[in-house]
Amino acid sequence: MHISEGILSAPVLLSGGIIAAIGTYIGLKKIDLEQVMPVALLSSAFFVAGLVHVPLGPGSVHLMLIGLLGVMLGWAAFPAILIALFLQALFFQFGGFAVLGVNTVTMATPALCCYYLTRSWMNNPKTRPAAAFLAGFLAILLASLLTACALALTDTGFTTAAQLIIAANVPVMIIEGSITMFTVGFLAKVQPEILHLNYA
Amino acid sequence: MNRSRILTALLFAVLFSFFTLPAEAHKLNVFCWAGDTEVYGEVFFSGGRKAKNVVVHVQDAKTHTLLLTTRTDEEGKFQFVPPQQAVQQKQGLLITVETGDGHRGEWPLAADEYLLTESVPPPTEQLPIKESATASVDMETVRVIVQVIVRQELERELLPIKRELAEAREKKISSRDILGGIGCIIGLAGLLAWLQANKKKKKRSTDG
Repeated sequence: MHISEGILSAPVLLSGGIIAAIGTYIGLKKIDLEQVMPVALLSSAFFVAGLVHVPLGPGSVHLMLIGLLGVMLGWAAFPAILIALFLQALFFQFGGFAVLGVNTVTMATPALCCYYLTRSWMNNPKTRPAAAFLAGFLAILLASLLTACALALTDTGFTTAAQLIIAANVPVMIIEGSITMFTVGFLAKVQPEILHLNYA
Repeated sequence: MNRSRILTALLFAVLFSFFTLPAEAHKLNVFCWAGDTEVYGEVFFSGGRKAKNVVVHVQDAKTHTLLLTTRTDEEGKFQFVPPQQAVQQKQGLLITVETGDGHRGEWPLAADEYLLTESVPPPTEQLPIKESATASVDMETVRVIVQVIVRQELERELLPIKRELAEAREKKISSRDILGGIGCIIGLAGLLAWLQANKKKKKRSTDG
C-alpha cells in the first residue's frame, strides 16, 4: 500500500503532509503515560508486519495490521503509523520520505474510521468478534481506496488503480480481519483494559 | 501485573517470529546489466514475485527525456538495445518502471557500463573467414576473429555474473535493520514517557 516516491504531484504530497501532521498532533495529545507502551508495541508490530508477504492473489502485498491499530489506539494510530512508516522508509526503502505524509494518511485514516465505526460493537462480547473482523477487513479496503484516490489526484485513473490495488489486497483483507478478530478476542480475555482506552 | 507481563512477552514473541520470514522490502525492484549489444533487466516485487507485463521506460539520466519504452515478459524480464542517440552522446540511462498501483522502481545505468563493449565492433559483422581459410592467413583477420570469439565466450560466461552483481547492488533488509527500527520505536516511546513523567512531576510540584 506504500506509494513510491516520484509518482505523486506536489499538491497531493503537501496536503497529505498537512493532514498527517494534524492527525499526529491530535494523536500525540491523546497518548498519556500508561498508553505509551501499547502505542510503541503496535507501532513496532506495524513496522515489522510490512515484511510479511501474502503470497496469494495477483499482486505483491503484505500485512499492515491497520485495523488492529485503529481498534486499539484510535487517534494514536496516526503517530504510531507515521513513525513506523518513517522507519520503513529509512530501513527498508518502503515508500519514501516525500510520500510519508500521504502514506500516513492513507493508512491511519482507515484505522481511525474503523475505531469509530466498531467502537459501540466492541463493548458487547457477542458482537465483538464480528466487529473486530470488520475493522481488520474494512481498514484495508479503505486504505486501498484512499491510495487509489491519491494516485487518481495525480494522473493515474482512479478505477484502474483502485481495481489493481483492491484485487491485490483481497487476501490481506481476509487475513487481517481474522488476525484482528483473534487478537481482540485474546486481549478481551487477558487484558480487557487495553481495549477500552479512552482516546476519543 | 502478571497478565501484562504475559501479554508483552506474547507480543514480542509474535514480533520476533517474523524474523524467520524472508526479509525483503515491499517495493518494486529493478535491476539491469549490460551485455554485448543489449541491456538486460529484471523487475520483481519484494517477496520475489515477478512483475509481468509492466511498462519499462528508458530515460536519459540527466534530462529525463524518454528514449524508449519496452515491456517486461511473463518472467518479469526485459531487454533492449541502447538507443543510438544515447550511445553517440555517451548518455547515462535511467530505467524506470511503474506498475500503476503506486509502485515505482528505477535503476541508473552509467554510460560506461553499457558503452564498454560498444567500442569493439559487434560480432555480427561480416568476417572474411572463407578467404582467409584458403589464402595465407592475414594476421589482422585472425586478430578480429579471435577477438570476436573471446568476446562471445566472455559474454556467455560473464552475463550471469553481471546479473548477480547488479542484483547484489540492491539493498537487502537484514535483521539489523529490523532490530534497529524496533529499537528506535522503543526509544521514542521512552522519550515520550519521560517527557510526560516530567510534566506530571512539575504539575505535582506546582500543585503541592
